[in-house]
Amino acid sequence: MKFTETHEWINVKDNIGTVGVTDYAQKELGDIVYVELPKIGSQVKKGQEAVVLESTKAAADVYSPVSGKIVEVNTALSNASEKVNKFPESDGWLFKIQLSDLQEVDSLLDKEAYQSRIP
Amino acid sequence: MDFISNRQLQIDEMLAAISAASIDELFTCIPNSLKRARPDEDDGLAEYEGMRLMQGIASKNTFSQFTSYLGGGSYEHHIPAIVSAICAKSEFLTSYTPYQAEASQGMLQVIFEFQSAICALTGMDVANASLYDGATACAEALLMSLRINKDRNKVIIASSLNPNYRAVAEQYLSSHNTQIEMIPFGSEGRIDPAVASKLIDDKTAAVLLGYPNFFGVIDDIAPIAASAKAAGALTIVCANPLVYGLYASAVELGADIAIGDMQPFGLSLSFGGPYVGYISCREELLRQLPGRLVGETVDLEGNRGFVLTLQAREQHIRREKATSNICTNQALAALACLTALLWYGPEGVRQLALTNYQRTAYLKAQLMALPGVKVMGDALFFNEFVISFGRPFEEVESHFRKEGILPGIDLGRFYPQLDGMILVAVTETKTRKELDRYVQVASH
Repeated sequence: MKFTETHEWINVKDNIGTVGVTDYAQKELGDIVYVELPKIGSQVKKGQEAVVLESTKAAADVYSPVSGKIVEVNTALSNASEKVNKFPESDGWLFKIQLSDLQEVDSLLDKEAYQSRIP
Repeated sequence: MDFISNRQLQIDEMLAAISAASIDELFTCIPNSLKRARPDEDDGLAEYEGMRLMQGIASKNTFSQFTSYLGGGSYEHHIPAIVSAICAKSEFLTSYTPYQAEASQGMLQVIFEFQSAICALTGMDVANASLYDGATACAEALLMSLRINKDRNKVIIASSLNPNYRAVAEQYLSSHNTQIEMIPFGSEGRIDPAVASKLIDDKTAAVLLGYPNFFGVIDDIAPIAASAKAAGALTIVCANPLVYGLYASAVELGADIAIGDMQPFGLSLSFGGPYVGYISCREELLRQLPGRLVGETVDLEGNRGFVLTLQAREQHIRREKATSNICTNQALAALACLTALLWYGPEGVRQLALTNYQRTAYLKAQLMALPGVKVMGDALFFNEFVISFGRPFEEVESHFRKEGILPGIDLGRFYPQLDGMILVAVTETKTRKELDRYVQVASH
């Protein structure tokens, strides 16, 4: 699992990356009440806004850690957005992306580097 | 007390930063003919003198001496006396926007009831607390569609939509990378659904149509909405809300977003404003609906109460990514509309709409029978229609004005190809006698 400075994680298997937000991010946001998921088939660039998380106190953009095509979204979140709070780094995943450039993953943070950056 | 607290030192510093010699220099682009000289003597007036002066100026407005057939977006309707009785209550009249919203249960309930009334009229699932007017409602609905259809950048607007609304919508979209295409209208003032459907493609975010359109024509919107749906585009219906008392609701037409101006219910003409816009949509689109929304809930003890809801869409939370920079609503004007609507009730609205239609139909039929008078087409209509007396508008207008009648709006002002055509609006305020008088003046 790799991380971004903007608190996303990605798990890449066979060219497909599963993306979510970190436990730290969900704690900062508070109770998430709505997840605006991207359209399947849409193209996103690394660092581009892909998802919007709405909590009771804020709305936050989730940026794609890599470039590629959205191939699947976690539709279960549409009526169970609390999963992002409960299981941010497993069942609360947001979308799956088909990477267009595998090397982009190398520039991401590993767990240790990410942990050292959060307060 | 001076309301601008800047001292000369600060003023000089700011002027230097923009290389201007004086504040007056900032206004040199205004022609002198438009500037008014400062009075060089004390022209203060006593209260009585001031009243006389104002009455003198007000009496120059001769509008009330005419029987008016002007419409085109502002309609003369009777305003039930209860409207001003309710709106003049200081709790409503003087209250500012509820920042501590939930402490203002009365205001929230008014907004909630207004939203419910809009949904009842349009058939939509959800409506917001109101927008500025019909024109900005068009702009907001188009922007909403572009947010929903992020990967599309084309919108289609009926050229028969109120031209003032169209101009505002175009102005809003001018800073977006949006392509605007117009649906032409035929010689009857009607849109050909096949022509409209052909314009819709996989880049189209929305189709916006007037209902009735600017010529008073009820277009065949359902097939256009079906084509839009098939192409993944949204249909926006901009309606005079009174039309829903007689014709199909927006939801029955297959619309996704229903908008318009509520002026016909409870608001005076007032030279074009302040009016109040409404916007409503299907539930799936709720997240992109702009403006404030009031929801109904219960408190800890189970009592019914009202709250602002879904605020994450709005700019105080979402900042630059908010659905709109609309952060307020036309609460008092919306209350006036709501009061009128509730006063009429569902059956009353139906009767009012029917009366408007019948009186319009009567005048239209009488005029059609006159030699030399041409009516534009035979399409379905509501409370306006287009005629030509075969003479220039100025001539017709001056003839009618001599008889104390404002005959209608010069369509050549908006559509050069319709020069000499006149848009005539008839509402429930016109008696049979007045309508017969119009015909009589028209026939000589």
